[in-house]
Amino acid sequence: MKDPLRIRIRSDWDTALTYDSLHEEPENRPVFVGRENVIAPLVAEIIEPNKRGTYLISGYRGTGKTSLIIEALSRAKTQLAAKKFRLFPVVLNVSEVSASLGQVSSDAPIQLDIDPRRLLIALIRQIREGMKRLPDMDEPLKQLAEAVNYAHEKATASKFALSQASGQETTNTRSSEWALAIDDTNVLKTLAVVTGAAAVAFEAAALTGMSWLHTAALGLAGIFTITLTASIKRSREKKSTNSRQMSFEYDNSLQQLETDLKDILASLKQNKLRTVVVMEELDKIDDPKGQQLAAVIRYFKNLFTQAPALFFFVTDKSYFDIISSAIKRARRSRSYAVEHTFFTHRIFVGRPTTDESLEFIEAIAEESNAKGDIRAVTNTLGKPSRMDDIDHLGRFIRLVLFNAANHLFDLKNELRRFARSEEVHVDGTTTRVSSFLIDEQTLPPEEAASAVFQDLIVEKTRSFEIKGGRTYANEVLADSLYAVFNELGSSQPQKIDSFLPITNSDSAEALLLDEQLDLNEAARVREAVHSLIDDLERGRALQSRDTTANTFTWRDDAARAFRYVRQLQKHEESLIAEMERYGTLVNALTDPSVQHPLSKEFEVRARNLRRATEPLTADAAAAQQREVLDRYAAAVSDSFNARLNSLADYGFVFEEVARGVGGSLHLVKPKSGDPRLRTTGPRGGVLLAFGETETLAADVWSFITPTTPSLAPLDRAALVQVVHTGDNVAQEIQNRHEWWGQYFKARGANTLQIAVDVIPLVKAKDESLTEIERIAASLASFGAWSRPEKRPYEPIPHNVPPLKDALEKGKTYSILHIASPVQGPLRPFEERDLLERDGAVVMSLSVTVAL
Amino acid sequence: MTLFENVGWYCMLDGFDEVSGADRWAHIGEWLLTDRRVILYVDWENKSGWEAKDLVEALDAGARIIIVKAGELPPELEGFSSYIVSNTPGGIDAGAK
Repeated sequence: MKDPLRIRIRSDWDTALTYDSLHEEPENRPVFVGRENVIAPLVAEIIEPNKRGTYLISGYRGTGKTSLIIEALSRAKTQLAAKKFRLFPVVLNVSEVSASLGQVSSDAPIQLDIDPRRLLIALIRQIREGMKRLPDMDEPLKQLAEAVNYAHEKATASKFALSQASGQETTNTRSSEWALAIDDTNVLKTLAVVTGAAAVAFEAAALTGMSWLHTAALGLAGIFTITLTASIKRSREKKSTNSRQMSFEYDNSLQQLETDLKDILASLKQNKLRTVVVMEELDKIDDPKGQQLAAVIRYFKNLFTQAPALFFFVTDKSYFDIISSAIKRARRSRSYAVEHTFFTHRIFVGRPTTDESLEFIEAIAEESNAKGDIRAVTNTLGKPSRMDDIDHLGRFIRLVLFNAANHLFDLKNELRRFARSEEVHVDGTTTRVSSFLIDEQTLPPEEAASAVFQDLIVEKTRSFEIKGGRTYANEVLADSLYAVFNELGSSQPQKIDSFLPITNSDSAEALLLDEQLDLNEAARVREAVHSLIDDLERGRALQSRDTTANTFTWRDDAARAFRYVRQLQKHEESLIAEMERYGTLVNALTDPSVQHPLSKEFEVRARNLRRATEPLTADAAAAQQREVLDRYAAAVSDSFNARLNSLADYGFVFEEVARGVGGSLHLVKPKSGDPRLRTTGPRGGVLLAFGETETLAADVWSFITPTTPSLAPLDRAALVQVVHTGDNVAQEIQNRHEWWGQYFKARGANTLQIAVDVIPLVKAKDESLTEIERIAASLASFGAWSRPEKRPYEPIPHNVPPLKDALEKGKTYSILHIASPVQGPLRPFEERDLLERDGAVVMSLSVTVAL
Repeated sequence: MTLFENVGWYCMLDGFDEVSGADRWAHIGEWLLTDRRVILYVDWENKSGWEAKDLVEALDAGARIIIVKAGELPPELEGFSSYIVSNTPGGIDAGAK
């Protein structure tokens, strides 16, 4: 590297967003980029004052969950103003909640706990503090502030007594304790005096002109006898001058506090304040199984979901896993987890994407040309084949992204290595400027070589991206891919399984990395990791690979030795195979000497895919596979319809029974109608199936053995299935035949006589009939076979012995000659049923002689 | 109507009560006999208008025919393999010829 590269950056480039930023002008706030897919819906919820709900916002530590909420609040603040509402954020962190009832001793180890009372008190206190900061308080707001203050006083009191004077003066006596133990020993007494206390309270309210909340609180007052086991007590007393004093002890039960809070939240809304409660740092609670938080949320579920406010619970990934696992496990056992209704929304905040990380670096750059250069890196990222063209800036960006594994927190740490703050003298003035310095010291060549791995990861991330808003799944994908490089340079064997999502654990206690992944997603991640390792092996970054032990060993100089060699991904190979297969099949629909247009198109697409320098994403490949199948199915369907029309010329009438992708089932309808409607037996019918649908067998069986009372089952049923086969026609036909045989046998079709014929859609080479004639032949003979009542048994001399054996022995002969002289009466040739077992028809060429 | 046409035609009538395109069925009828999807039954004394040469044509195509006729087969059919069933002296099952 000859010339060092300097990128001027904002001096506050690594400053984190804080809730104080909400009070600053947007241009003065620290940099925030990306997350649009999460922020926009949040903003939409916040700016609608009638919306309420509980949001679980989870993700790995350091992924920017708090920044995301602050950004959403900040944007909502502006939009709320247009609705004459003010944003009223109430931010709690768990240490505040935990300490809301104080610590017994400052020397005790800090253990953060959360419970309903602590949370309520902390909430009311934060609302009180928030109201103190509100500018432009009008009279109703002042009254509300007074009510909140009062509620807080009550909430924190272990015993709250109010003496009411006839005049304007009030005396409060308040006892607080720092270590709480409440023992309600006299509930009955409490209930007994509530009514009387309420009556007096309303009278007092009238005299003092107190706010509605105060009045309501008084009205609902009861008396609790509270036994205190406090170790430290604090008391304070205000002025007391009254002549006609009444004394109350107020209900500061949990239920009452909750009611107070609900009223406060309702009143905040009435006063045009949009309340958003954010409970931060919940992952700091010593609560590995999420039980404390669960208890709190369960307790306040009604408050959280009904109060006119939004509640954001910010936790790390593990709590998200706990909730999701509980739901998933409940589903497995066909039940409904309580956790399911905890949160109205569950949002998983993944690490920033590579593009967002780049956007961040661009945003902190100060000079427009540098911004442009950084933006341009986006165009070359994820193309490891072009590493030779990458300049210093490109390598610098790739390296910091690679080392940070896209974690925002780590990205800032990585960037700090390059950050410099220097004094610059320009025109006699000295200013301090910040910049990133990229030279051989900060970015030595051997380290810069690792930049190529970032491209490799980006390529895999893009190729195997799991679409559909599955942030969680993509986070696991990124985790697994970066994990491959965890011990880059190590001489120890690397276990490939350790990079993959864990599956198939039966432990109910296990919280697996991929607990929330479905099977397809887990398979996608595994495929991505294997594809990455294949590339590393092909590019000579590996010393060795043991496929039996499923391990590999890095080369000492893996990064410098690595040369990317493009290889088709499995999903690309699979797509090409599908296009080739369907190209061949669709070709067989028409004159073999002329290539079907669709086949030609598939051929070109497969060729282009092989030649592409960049891989197709797994989702795009899957989408193309579906499209290829759909178009093939449409071509086959057109072909089926053309054949139906041709068959109609022979006198066949079809009635559609079922239809699916790639096929249809029809009744070949006699003039007399659906045979199942016949009032007397025997009932025989013929079905024609085109192609193969997922439910074909079930559709056939349900037609033959209907459950509808008005329809009777068939005694003789024939099925002609027309299939589009590949090259091995005879084998495919035979396989299909056998399949149907096993299917009907498994259904226990013992009394029912079934005949099946499978016919290729396209005329077989050795077939004398056209495909239409072949189908018509089968349908016609099956038609006659299915209705034996139309063909009375032929009369034979009664002295002809039973022919069962003769029919069997003579089946290979052209003529079965019954040479008995006709003497005496005749008998029916019932033995013909043996000949007709498999769908063959005995047709008489004789004049019918009445038996 | 030829024997082959008759076979296809009557399969349709027996199975579906209607048929069309008389000229389409000869080829199909022949195939049905050749593939032995249809086995002909002939009561020699009551065969309605069919003659031995029609049966010969069918047998030449590979058809299987059950013929009820006392005594010997007509000379036109003697060249085809046959299995004889009889209760006349010589056995109930006279066997192949």
